[in-house]
Amino acid sequence: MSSENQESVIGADVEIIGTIKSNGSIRLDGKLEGEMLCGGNAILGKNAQVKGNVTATSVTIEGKINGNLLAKDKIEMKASATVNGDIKARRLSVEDGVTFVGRSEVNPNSQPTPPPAPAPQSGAPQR
Amino acid sequence: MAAAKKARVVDGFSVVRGLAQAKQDAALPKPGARRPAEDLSSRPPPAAKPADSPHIVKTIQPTRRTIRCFECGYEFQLSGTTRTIYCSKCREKIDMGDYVIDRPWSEEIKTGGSVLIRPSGRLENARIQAGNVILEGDMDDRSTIECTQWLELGGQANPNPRQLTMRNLRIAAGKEMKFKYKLQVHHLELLGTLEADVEAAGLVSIREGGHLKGTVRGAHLQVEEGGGLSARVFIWPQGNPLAPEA
Repeated sequence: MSSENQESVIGADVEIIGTIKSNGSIRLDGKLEGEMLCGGNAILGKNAQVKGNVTATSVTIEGKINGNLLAKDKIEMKASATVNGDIKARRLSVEDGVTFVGRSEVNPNSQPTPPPAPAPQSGAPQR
Repeated sequence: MAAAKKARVVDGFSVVRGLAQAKQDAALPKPGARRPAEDLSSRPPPAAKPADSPHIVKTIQPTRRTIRCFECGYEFQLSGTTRTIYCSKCREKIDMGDYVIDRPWSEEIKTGGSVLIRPSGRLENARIQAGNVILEGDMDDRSTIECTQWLELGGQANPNPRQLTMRNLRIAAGKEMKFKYKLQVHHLELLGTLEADVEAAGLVSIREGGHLKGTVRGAHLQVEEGGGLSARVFIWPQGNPLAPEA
């Protein structure tokens, strides 16, 4: 199994101060004071409390977050979610009941920005 | 003359007389005596009804809708459909008819029902007061629309928002609308695009294909997957904790 498919679980009784980095998915049920950088899906459970920014491919929130959310693909806010911060994603799903204060930048119809053209290699002919 | 045949009529007197007769014949059980259990073994089991049985299994109640009197403003509930109704408070007659406008229209319409203004319809110095209005056509600067319930904006309609008064607003799919001033509604449903400063007491619902730009303040927000939200958002289901208490 590749590390991208693995899910790391941080239990409800765990409190972390610092940055969490992972290429796979993370499920957080405890407290985090710091940043979370996740290559896969980030799931913030009902008991999760985050003070810091979260960056992931997709983010599912059931708990509380004081910080910005940046998802390459999707942000999903469940009814119990509380978000104080800005969000940016390609897709968004919000259930009735959420508390959300911040700026939202979600436009599913926008074209994804193309990656920058590779820099010309040295020795390659230049015009 | 033949004797008149005694008619068998079940009235109060005959019931009392029948009970007295039964008591005399000891056919009635004594007060407090238990009734013997019925032997059900000989009774055939009830036939199983097929899944697509035509029997009525559920009673469907007519839809209830809120009617607001145009004269006194009193709101009351109405079940089912009717052509006219009288206000429960001021007894004013309220037309409940539905209207379809598919040509230039310059008269006043006052109805508790619905008004559909088709793309070929155009309001010219007309005043529309209705329960629900679907505006697909056009309206000039002198026309006004007042809805006590839902106003749906769709088609090629591009009205000045100052001419519209509504409780709930729906923007139809594919429609783009811009409100320059603060938009105060109860419910807001977006299937199209709306650019506005929205303040909603009820539910702001962004459906698939819908997009909200600007600012949204309220208690309830729902975004379906495929909906867009490019806005400053203030959603507090329990009320704004920073707001001064009344």
